[in-house]
Amino acid sequence: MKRAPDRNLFNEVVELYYQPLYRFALSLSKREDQASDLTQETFRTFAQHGGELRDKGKVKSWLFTTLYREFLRLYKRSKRLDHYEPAVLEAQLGGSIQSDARRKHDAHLAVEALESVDEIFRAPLSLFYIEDLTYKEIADVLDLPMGTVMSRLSRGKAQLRDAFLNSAKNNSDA
Amino acid sequence: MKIEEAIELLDTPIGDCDAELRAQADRIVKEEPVALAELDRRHKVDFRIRGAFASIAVPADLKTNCLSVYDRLVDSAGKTADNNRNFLIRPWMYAAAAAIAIMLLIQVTSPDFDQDTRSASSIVPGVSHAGVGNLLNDLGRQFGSFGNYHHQPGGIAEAASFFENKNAPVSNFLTANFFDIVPDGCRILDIQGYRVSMVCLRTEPFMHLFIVPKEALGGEALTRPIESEVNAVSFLAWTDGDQLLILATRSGTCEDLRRHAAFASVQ
Repeated sequence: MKRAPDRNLFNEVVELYYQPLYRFALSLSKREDQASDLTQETFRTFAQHGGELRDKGKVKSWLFTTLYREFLRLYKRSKRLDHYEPAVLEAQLGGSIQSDARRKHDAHLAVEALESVDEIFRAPLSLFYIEDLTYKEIADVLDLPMGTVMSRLSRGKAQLRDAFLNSAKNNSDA
Repeated sequence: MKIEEAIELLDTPIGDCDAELRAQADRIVKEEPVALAELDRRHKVDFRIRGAFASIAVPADLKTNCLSVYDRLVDSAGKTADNNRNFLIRPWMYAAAAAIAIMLLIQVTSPDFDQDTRSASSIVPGVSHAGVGNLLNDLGRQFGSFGNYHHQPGGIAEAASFFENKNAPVSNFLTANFFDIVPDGCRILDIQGYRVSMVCLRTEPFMHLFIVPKEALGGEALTRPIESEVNAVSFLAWTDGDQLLILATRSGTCEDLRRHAAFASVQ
């Protein structure tokens, strides 16, 4: 705990970011339980190492970067099938969004639209729409060149807008 | 600048674009009602999408759980400090552990360290070694189908308490050497009729530590650590006090296990 932030800062950061982090995690993992775990794991890492951050203005990028890396690590590990039951894995890798995540109509539309977008666009789009990160911040979080982020966002936004409007239309027709 | 370029430029997040270029794009769009309408349409859709994402329900207990992470870490660090203090109060235990650590380190790094990648039971002669071989074969065969975790602790101290409360074997090796690792989860297994504690460690590579009562070897201690690979799972096994400890990984190598065991033992 030597490099831990002080308690007040930790609480403040949780208050500010637990919701957008959870939503970002859900957009990546598509599972509520994993999204919760990823969010808590991110704050655990922050509790351990957050005190090392010299520039407090970078806390937001740091949190999203940490969560994204943890997701990639878990995703790679889950592919190795090393400790889960087949049924759990099936749900984890092939399952769709759990029904609880679709409690709200608009939330459902957003998630459904995001799922229909090409995979490489999803993470930058989530960061852009969920937390309004700038291109530079998104590039830092995803460890991509800014030009790549700009290009992916430009094409991804067009896809997402179309998908969202189509989903909205289909749902209202149904 | 073309109209399409101007629209794309104004569609970017503020702050990432040169102010002069943005002003130029702004002028162009204002002079073109179609471009203005397109930009307006995009912004309206974006506003709806943002609102939609913001309406994704967040679990009611998530904030409390996130806040409690800090307490759990403080608690875990405190317990570890207590353990370390207790350890120092009993010098004979410290000396014994140091001797075991040095022995393990020497044996692990010595050229005649048991090593084979064919099968465990075929390379370890003698009753006690055959016992280890059978255990490793069983673990290798079952690897990946142990079932869901019984408990997902917030720290190693909590994992040790869980095993202790369930009368399952627990080892100082775990609490003293992986104190800063958050376990992925714990499960108590029944292997050959013995209660075996399994803790999955978020190390690099991801590892499983099995704590087996030494009775499974007929009470005999191993004279040297055994390294083996069964069913694509790498194993490192050694005895420590009344227990047989087995580190395993599917994503790493025996060398990774040696590194963790040696590193851990000399702390």
